[in-house]
Amino acid sequence: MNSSGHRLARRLTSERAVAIALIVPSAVAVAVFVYGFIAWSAVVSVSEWDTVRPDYTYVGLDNFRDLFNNFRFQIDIRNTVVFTVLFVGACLGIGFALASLLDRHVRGEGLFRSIYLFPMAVSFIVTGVVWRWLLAPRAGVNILPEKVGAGSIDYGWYTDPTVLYVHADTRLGEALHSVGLGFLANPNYGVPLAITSVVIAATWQMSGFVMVMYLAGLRAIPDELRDAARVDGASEAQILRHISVPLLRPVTLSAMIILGHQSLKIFDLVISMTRRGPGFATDVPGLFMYETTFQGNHFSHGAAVSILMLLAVSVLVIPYLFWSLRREARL
Amino acid sequence: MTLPWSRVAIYTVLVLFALVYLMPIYVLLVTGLKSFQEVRLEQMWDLPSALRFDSFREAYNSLDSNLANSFKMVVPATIASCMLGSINGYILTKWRFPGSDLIFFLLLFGMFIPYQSILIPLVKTLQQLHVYGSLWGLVITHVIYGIPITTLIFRNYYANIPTELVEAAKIDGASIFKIYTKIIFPLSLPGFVVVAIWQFTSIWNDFLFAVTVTSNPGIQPATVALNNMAGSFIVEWNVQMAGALIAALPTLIVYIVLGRFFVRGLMAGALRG
Amino acid sequence: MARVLYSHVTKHFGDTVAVEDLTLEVFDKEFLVLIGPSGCGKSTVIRVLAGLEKLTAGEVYLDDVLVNDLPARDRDIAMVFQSYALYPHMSVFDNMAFGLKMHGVHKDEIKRRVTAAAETLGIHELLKRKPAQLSGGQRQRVALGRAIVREPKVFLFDEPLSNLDAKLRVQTRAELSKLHDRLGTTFIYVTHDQVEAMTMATRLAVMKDGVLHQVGTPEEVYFRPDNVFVAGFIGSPSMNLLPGKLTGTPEEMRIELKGFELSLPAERSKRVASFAGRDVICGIRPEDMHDRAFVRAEVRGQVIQGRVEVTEMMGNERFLHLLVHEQELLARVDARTRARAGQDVSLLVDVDRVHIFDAATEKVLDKFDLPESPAPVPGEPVASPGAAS
Repeated sequence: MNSSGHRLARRLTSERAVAIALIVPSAVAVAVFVYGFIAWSAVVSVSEWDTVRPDYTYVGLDNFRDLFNNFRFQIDIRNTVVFTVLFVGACLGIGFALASLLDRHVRGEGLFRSIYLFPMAVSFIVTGVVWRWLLAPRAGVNILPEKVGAGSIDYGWYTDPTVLYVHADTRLGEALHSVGLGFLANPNYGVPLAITSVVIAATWQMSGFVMVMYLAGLRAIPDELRDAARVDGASEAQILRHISVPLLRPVTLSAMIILGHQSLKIFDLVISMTRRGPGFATDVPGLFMYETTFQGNHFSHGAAVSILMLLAVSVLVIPYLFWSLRREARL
Repeated sequence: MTLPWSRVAIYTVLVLFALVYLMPIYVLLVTGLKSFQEVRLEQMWDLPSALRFDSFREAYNSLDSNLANSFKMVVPATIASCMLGSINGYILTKWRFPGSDLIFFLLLFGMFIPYQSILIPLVKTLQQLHVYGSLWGLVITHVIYGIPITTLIFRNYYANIPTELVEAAKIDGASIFKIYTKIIFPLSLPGFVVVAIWQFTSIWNDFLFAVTVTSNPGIQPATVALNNMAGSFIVEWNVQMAGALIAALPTLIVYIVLGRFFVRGLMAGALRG
Repeated sequence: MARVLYSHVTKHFGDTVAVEDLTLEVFDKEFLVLIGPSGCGKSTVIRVLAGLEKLTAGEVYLDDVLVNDLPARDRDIAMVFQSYALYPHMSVFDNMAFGLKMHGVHKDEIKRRVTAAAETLGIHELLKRKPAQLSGGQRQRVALGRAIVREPKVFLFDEPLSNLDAKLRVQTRAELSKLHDRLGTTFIYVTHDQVEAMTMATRLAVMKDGVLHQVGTPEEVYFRPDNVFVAGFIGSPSMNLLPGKLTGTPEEMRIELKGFELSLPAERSKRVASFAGRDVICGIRPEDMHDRAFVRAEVRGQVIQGRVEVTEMMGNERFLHLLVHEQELLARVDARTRARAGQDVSLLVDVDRVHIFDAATEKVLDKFDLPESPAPVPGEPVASPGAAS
């Protein structure tokens, strides 16, 4: 290689060096602010830091043990599970129903789509404020029937402290007991009615997003496939069941992951709409973490909650990320 | 033309859902437009007898400085997010290097984490940097935690720009910067619109960072002020409703005007499932 | 002058081998066509030269300068992409001018060169348009123009005609040949289309699975394929390839095939005598089987019998799909033939032009002479009557 070759070789590698250098600021920022901070939180979560003054004395998993023995946190876990199931289910159901209706050459499709989707553009805080009044016991939805001459509804919505659960002295409770699942007959494994109000508000906000995803998925199915099924004698309902739904499985999975991880993180909506609710009926880990840390100054316990939230989200999201990146690589 | 009953059923369902989705907006509007005398909870659904802007005026008076804060925070954060995302997307699609896929993966994960898990270190770090409690602290926070999503959207956008264009430009003698400024950037406008709308909306709507990073009410963005307003027993519910509408208005306007791009951002956020 | 030398070039993409130990010299002013089935690595060969891919091993020289690590922009090479890769936001003029601007050419000179190239290509009136406003053919010309204005050492073409319709392709083929004559520059052209390759190339390089199989003029590659792959790949419809065994004496060698045999003429027999007893693959081009009624006098051949399964009328000729002792063969005979589906037919196989490959190595055992010098056989229009069993 001659000397000009050497010079030019350096230029080629320098071009790549420039490329790497351009991404370094972002990579470092994320490395520090995401991964570094997560590690830092993890350290706090196993420390003694329970006042305003930082104290990094190592205490092992004590804080986590405290949490799992904490009545409020136990309820939070129950609430999160109930909320996630109801919220994801409602969004998927409504989103799919709306998408499959809109996919049938509906006039004014654009307008309908915009109406179903606009709540996405609004802050959870706004949603919370509005729905708090819409579901207020003596206002909103409860008095709507009066306007058409019917009586008002007497339902407490998010103020209702009822928790539906299997009572130990019922036949079902005894049956559970006999198979060693007696512990399930406990309000900690029940469904707090108040949380359905939060589910309604959250579904109002997010179901349009699921609709858009399903609609895009439906549009991506080649017409020829459906035509072929029609030629084969399938009805529209059968086409939906045997062609569209199976082909939409990846969309369903994506929607489930996105909604699911959001419901694990939910905070804004709850703080603006219901806060803890009666008997912590609408309390969630996000709110617990915020109050523990920034109002109670129990930093180590707050950090422990946040680490548990992170773990829950990771279990959901990391396999999904691998799956979708591999899928993308295959396309 | 007569509609078969199945069509009627479809439209009926669609219209009913539309009414339910619009219901909160209806309540927000009629409440905001009523005079104080009319705003009893029992009359929540009634149309105003005369248009009065009392509630809006009062809500605006208590939110105006917070709305200004929101704008002061959102605009620079959005611009910076766009630039970073665009450059990252450019490098990760057109100048891939060993390890770039790993970097992308690690960036992406940052999009999903519950921010609670970084809040304590974030607050401590911003205090160290003396930007805690300031709008600049919030701007920095939003730009950094916006890197994953903006990078993802731009990466997906640039993946659809044929790599041959970049190769042709390389053969034509353009450097990494020239290829960006002369080829990629001029083709990026839709990508910038999508990312700008996305960041504008999510930064405007953010509450968690806003409430933890700013404690001084004079600095707080609109979402925090609205939440404080809603949590106080002094403020009338009609003023809360009017405040909610005002706080939602900027993002709603963006949605109405540029809805098409908003949807694209959403889909990109869904990792093109 | 622009000579290109690939020396033991290897390129891997992860586990995939794109090019394996390629050594190839491209001569100055030559029109070299790289041809092979898709995925054979032919595009990689030119992308390596363009500086778009880094080598795994080996060296690439451009005019005796090692260019392995030279960035694309310093190589003085122009490339026409399959998709044309026109910058969508730039006018035709700006598209053509971009490379010159990047190389700091003076404005007036850019204008002069772009105008000249546009005139040559007949796209002068399109200079202000954007690529989206052009037809496929026009885009192709702009891509060509963008390369021409650079006045590069080497032009690279990556399947530039594959997005054109058939008629335009024929026309553009001729124009590319003319352009090559006029510019007197080295062209390296990648295609999977045999017609493009045969019509334009001064030399062809046939590749498969990253390996170079044969380099030569179109005549050499067509008439004297080095191995079974080249024999089967070049030529359409492709060569009939039949397993057999070489037997006989130095005076008269025979290829024993399934159900019949072919006797070789004396001079070929002598050449292949040393291979007696070897398993071979016998290659017969469809056009080397003739209807006896319309055969040219000088053909020395041997009659074989078969049943016609299907015939395809092509206008100037007719394809006969034959079953000869349970082997499927294709013959390309005079259109006037009376052979029809379901009939038995006897055809004359031109034994001077039968290809013989070693069955084990798939390499050619005996190349026959090029057709410019067919062995004259005075006074014997049809040789060896009744050869086939």
